Amino acid sequence: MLNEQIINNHHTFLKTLEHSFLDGERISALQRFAEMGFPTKKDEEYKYTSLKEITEKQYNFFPSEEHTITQEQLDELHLGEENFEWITFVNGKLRKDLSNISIENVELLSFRHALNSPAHREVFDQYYNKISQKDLAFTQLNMAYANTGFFMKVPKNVVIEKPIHIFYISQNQDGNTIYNTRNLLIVEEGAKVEIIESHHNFDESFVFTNSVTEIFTYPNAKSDWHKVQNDSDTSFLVDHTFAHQEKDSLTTVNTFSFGGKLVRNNLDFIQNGSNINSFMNGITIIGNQQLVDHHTAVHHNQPHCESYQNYKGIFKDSSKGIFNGKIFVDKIAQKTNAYQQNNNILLNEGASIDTKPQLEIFADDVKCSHGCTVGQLNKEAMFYFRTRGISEKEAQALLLYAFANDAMQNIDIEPLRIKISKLLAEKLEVSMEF
Amino acid sequence: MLRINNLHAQIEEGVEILKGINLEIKPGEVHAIMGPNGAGKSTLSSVIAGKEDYEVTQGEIIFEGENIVEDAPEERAHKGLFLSFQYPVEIPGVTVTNFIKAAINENRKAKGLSDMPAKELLALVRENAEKLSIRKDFLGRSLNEGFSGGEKKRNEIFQMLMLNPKLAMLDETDSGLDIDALRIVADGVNSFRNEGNAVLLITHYQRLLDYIQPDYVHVLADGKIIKTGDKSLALELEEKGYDWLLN
Repeated sequence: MLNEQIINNHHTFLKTLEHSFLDGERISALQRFAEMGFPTKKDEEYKYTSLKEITEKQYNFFPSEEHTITQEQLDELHLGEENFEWITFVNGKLRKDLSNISIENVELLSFRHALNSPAHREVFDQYYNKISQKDLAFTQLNMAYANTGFFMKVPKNVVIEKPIHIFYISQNQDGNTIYNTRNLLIVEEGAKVEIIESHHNFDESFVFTNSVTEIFTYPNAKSDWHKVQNDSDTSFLVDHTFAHQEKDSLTTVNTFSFGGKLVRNNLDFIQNGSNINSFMNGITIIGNQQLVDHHTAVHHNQPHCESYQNYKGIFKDSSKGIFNGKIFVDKIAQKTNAYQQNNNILLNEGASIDTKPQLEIFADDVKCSHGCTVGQLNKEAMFYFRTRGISEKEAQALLLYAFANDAMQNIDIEPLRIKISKLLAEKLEVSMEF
Repeated sequence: MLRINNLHAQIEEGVEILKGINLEIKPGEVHAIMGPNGAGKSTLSSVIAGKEDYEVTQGEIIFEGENIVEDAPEERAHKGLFLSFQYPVEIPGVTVTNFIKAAINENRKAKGLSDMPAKELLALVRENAEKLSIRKDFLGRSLNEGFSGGEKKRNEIFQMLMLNPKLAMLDETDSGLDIDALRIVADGVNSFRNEGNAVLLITHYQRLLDYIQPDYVHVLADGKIIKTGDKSLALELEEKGYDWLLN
């Protein structure tokens, strides 16, 4: 189904592009995809996640650009306009009238524009597709078809004060639609930036987003990337994010998964210097038939680096969670400190979680700690709350809220933290003031 | 206020812990329940508070004229029952203030009242925190998490003052307290007492009773009240232990 469409539509797709310098790479990526095909449950990495509901559908590869998204509709998705810059893509196309960017000294372009402008060719040659893993069907599919997304380079010592929110909106489509979204972020020495990424499907029909993001963080630079996944129940998202860090840098990727029918997050950190800090936090709260799968991998390649992973999951109804956290410590990566925690609460009998830490350590002087728990709510705590007059439902919500909240400790953008808290409260059906 | 008639309770089929308790508490009174380890003292307070681990097999608990045996713990709280825990549960991520706010507003909701205005709540928090020498930063900490024994107990009494119940049951509130903390807690309890409410103290030692004077002292052993007296009974127990009563 989708497989054939991918192969058959490529020629037509290439003809729609204004640039051709990537055609060779795109064609070989497509060939690699054709050889691999979509992973199945026989594949170790997809043992617990069936992609059939994505791949056994037909999609439109050429979304119509017309839309009727209004400023008011966008406002509802906002986190508080005064505190952010934002870029809005609708149906794959950058909409300047729905964007608000006032920053200077920064190269910030739509990916499409960057591809079509020879002025940016050099940067592409240097960074594009350099850390994205080549042996994966989804990255190859993305390489073959990528034509939307954003490109940003923050020059040396430039600190961007306001976080930048990237909206990917799909609306007004006739039938199921596929997007191959591509993001490239380069944060040069001593620079600092925070990105928020969210996807929104306004239609009843399905949207499948296959997103690849590459983040380069240079010495003493700081980059934070927050993924707010609260899309409709006719949305599929497969995300591959690769974060490459040079010495003395700090990169955080937070993933908040509340919505979407099937979400697969693949997050790779590549540490390429000493004294690097990498943070990964996740909060997943899902219900019904939703599935959220987190696959993380931290590559400790150099000595004196740290990584922290804190993932919390709350699963209701028949929802399903997967967590697979890999930590690789190279034999020269002495004094590594790698921490990984995955805690889950199952609220209904039909809900499930498969959690698997995977550590491969080749250095002998390292500190690696990991833990995963799967449980129900503490009965003693419930009784304590109830003796104070707090109803069972409210007590449960408060306890779950507190449980999840732990993974929000290092969001330093107040409005974002409030927004996430509100989403938490909403998902847990608890009334809270913030 | 509280009348317990022939109360039997078991933790599982055939393992009976309370074996026919009779107790009456009137407004304005302070009762103390003493007894050796494993007598069922904590079970009694848990059963009165509605803990679902225990099954009441016989008897009734009449509170303010209603049998509350079938009520959920929160319903009992709404009617004016309060239990200070021997081991308060640590709740990371919920602050003392948020917890007490939720408790107060849930109690008000049950009475058909709207949420307490923030200003009023704040004033009440300040007033009661002062009584117990609780510092302001304490209120922003996660509930009981990393609290010392004394802080936990003070926090329990703080909640009692905030919720202002009709009957406060204090389970081993004196354990883990040094003499200064004990005095502060006792002062808090004494400030709470009035003609309309009552206190049930559960304690192993009579030390607390030097500070909170009971009207009645009951000895609970093997699931039954085997002796009732006035506060001199506590002193006698302190001196002689329980053996003379058991044999």
